[in-house]
Amino acid sequence: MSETPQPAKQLHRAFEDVARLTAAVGLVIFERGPRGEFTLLSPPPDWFQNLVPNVQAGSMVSVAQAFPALDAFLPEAEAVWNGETREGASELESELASDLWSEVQASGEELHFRARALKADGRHWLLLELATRLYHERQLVLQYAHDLALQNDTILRLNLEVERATKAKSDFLAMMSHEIRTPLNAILGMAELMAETELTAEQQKYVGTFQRAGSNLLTLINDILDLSKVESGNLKLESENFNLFDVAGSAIDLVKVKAREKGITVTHEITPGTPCYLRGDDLRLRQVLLNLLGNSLKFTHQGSVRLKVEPEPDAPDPGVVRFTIQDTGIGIAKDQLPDLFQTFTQADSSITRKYGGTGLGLAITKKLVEAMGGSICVESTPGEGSTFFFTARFGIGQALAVVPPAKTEAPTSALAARLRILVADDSEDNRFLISSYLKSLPYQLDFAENGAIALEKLRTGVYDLALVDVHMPERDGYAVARNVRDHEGSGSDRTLPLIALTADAYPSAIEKSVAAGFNAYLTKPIRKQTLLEAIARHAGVREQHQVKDEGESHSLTSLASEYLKSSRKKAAKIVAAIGSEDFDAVRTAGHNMKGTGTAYGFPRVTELGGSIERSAVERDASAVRTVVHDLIAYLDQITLEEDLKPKVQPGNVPRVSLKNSMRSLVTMFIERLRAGAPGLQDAIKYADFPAIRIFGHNLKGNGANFGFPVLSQLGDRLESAALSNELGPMEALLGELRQYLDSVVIEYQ
Amino acid sequence: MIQKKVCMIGSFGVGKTSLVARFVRSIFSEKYQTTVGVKIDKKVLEVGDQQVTLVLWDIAGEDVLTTVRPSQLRGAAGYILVVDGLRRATYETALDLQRRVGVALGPVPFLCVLNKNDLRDRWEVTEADVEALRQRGWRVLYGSAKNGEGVEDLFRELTAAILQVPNVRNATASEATPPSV
Repeated sequence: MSETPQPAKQLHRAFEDVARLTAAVGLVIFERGPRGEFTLLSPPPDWFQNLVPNVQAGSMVSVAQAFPALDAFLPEAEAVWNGETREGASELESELASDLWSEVQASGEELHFRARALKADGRHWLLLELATRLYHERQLVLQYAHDLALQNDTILRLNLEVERATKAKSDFLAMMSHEIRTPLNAILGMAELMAETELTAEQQKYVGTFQRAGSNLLTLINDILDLSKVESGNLKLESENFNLFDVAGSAIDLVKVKAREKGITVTHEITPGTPCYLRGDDLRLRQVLLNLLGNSLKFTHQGSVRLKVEPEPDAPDPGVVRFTIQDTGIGIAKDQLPDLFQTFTQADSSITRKYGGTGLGLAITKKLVEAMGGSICVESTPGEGSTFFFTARFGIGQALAVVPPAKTEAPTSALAARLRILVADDSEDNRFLISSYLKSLPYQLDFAENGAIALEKLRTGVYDLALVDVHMPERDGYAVARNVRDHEGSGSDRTLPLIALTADAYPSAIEKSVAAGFNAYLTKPIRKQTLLEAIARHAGVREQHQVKDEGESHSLTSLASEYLKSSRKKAAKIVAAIGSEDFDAVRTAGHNMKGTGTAYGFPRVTELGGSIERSAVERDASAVRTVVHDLIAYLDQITLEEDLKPKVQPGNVPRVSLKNSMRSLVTMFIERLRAGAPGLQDAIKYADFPAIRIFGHNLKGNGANFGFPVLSQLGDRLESAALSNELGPMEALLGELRQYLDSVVIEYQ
Repeated sequence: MIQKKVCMIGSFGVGKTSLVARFVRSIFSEKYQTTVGVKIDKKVLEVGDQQVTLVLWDIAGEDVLTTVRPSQLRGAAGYILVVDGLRRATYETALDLQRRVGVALGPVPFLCVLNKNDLRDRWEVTEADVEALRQRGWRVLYGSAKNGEGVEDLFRELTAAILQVPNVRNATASEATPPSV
């Protein structure tokens, strides 16, 4: 036997090495022949033989049949083999790799592959490689992406659920608010009407209780709505420049009235170094301050309530302010402190009975403080008093620019006409209430108890105005309004004023009513004055008793000193009457003052008159004495200030003539009002009724104190409109205010 | 022997691979393993008096990184749309996929299976959703790769539809998984 020649032996060994190597790295090599046939060049490894049995090196294999996954790849590979490569590309670039795929063997074992077509040295190759590692790497990446996608889906779903739940809660609250406000409208309205009739002392007491309980209920509903707004994230904090000292001062001014009644001193101190001009939501800050000051005042029977404002020590930025409200009240037991800021929690349930309140005030306060980037805490010793501390983070602001007020045309005044008014409301109580409110006026009223009847009457009858409840059977108020507007068409020059009546207090309801074509929107409970103003404004006429042009204001001012004289006489009468325990006489005198004070520019007299009347009804002699003492002190103060008072000159332009000593104060007051007008405009824009109410209340009091009865009346009307959540007359009131402020001329003697 | 290509289509993680594994090898693994690319599996089935080899193309589920490509579908005789009853998003994906696959393949038979019927109490897909699919003329079955419920019927019914022969063995069983309440 001849031996294999040495070079051939070496070559054979080399082939064996290559075969072992290709098997070891999981590679199978085919060469593509001229007719597209594939010849297996490498010895087939075991895994290959499991998939394609009975083949060996040199066998022809139908690759397409053996590997259906290459179905899409092989036609693309043809392009590479047929030389369709980019011009200038190297041979190494004449290569194409397939996607990864897996084949499942009969045993269930999975093999992962990738194919590669390449052209080299004029020959066409197809490589099949086991791509286990590459597969698992890609699998890990994909799996990670899938985990993230699943987490994302979960988050989205949960968010959606939360949104749905929040919306359901909001809808529920809006619905409940409507359901509660509608009967409350009837109760408060009837109580208001009843209070105007001749009543015995006992009956007055009952009616007073109605009114107080109704008002408390209304406060509760408003608090709940406020809280739900905070909780559902609908509370949007404004970022406006404001004067911190003014905010603190006005909050103090507001509580002082009540404090004086209780004989409690209220003071405030602003530590030097506290920034005056800040950026943030001054209205919410004011709400927090009023909540805490009001709370302290409520639980303090003697002594004082103090507000201290200072920069927060150690705060990283200068806009963090610390507020401290300290009282000498009844205090809170240690074990009750932790629950204090929870909703519906008062330190002791007996407190609700004794002091009233909803238990929501502090919960709202805490949430507002947190929304302002601060925190709140309390320290207290029973019997000695409580101290609330809170911080809030603001931006550093700028001094408020004095914006010249825009000229606004005042509403045209005319005598009350014989208006034809349609009242559409499914509640008989409410129809009756509205007719009672309007009975003394020369209006012709017609009624509809559902939307369909309302629409029919509006189509066939002639009306000057319609009051339409938005929630009615058959056709709701929105549908009625839309229908009316659709039929008016663009060609009609007569647009029927439509006023929506509803108990929904949500801003979305306002938008909805405007979109439906309503001119105005009154929120139940509707007060008589608000209704009259709305009718007057939208029917194009004003109530005669409301028409107070400048001339009338002047005559009122000239009457003021007469009125003050008679008030002093009445005060003396009350002192005498209380000595003989003649509560009827006291009540009559109080009632009289209540009814007349504001009209003469002395809202404080109205306020004190009301307190006297209430105390007389309750036959509380000591309370009457306290209030009369306040009244006399107030009247004395007015007398002293009398000659310092600005004198309003007759004529179209209100001219205020002052002595030097008063000039700076009055100028400051007017300037502050001018600066505050844009804030009021914003409050109206955002339907922020609490802020408007506070503004109106301040204006009412300060206007009278500084001798501007017109401003005082405007404040009263703003406060009234805000109290009944009525946005309708606000713009016009703002316009009147601006016009007055713009035209007032201050002279000094 | 006849060979038919059948594609498994659906969003990622709906259980396409698990349904195939249950059908071909009667196994189920709780461990989720994403499929990369295409996984080819085969099963010989007797429907009526015909033997057929189903070449099952288990195509990687649709996700942000992967899209079902027309080239993967080429030559398919039918397809199974898989929806995960626990994730409503996979229902939406199935609707979208059906539109695209329908364009690529033309009017070939397909079935929709709502997988994970063993976890029915946690489903996001509702009866109304299922009814909406049936209103579109879809054949919708309930199944569970985990306990095998409805799996055999699913493939048999599709195969019978592909071969255009009555699915005798499972004429009643195909609807044997009524919606649980």
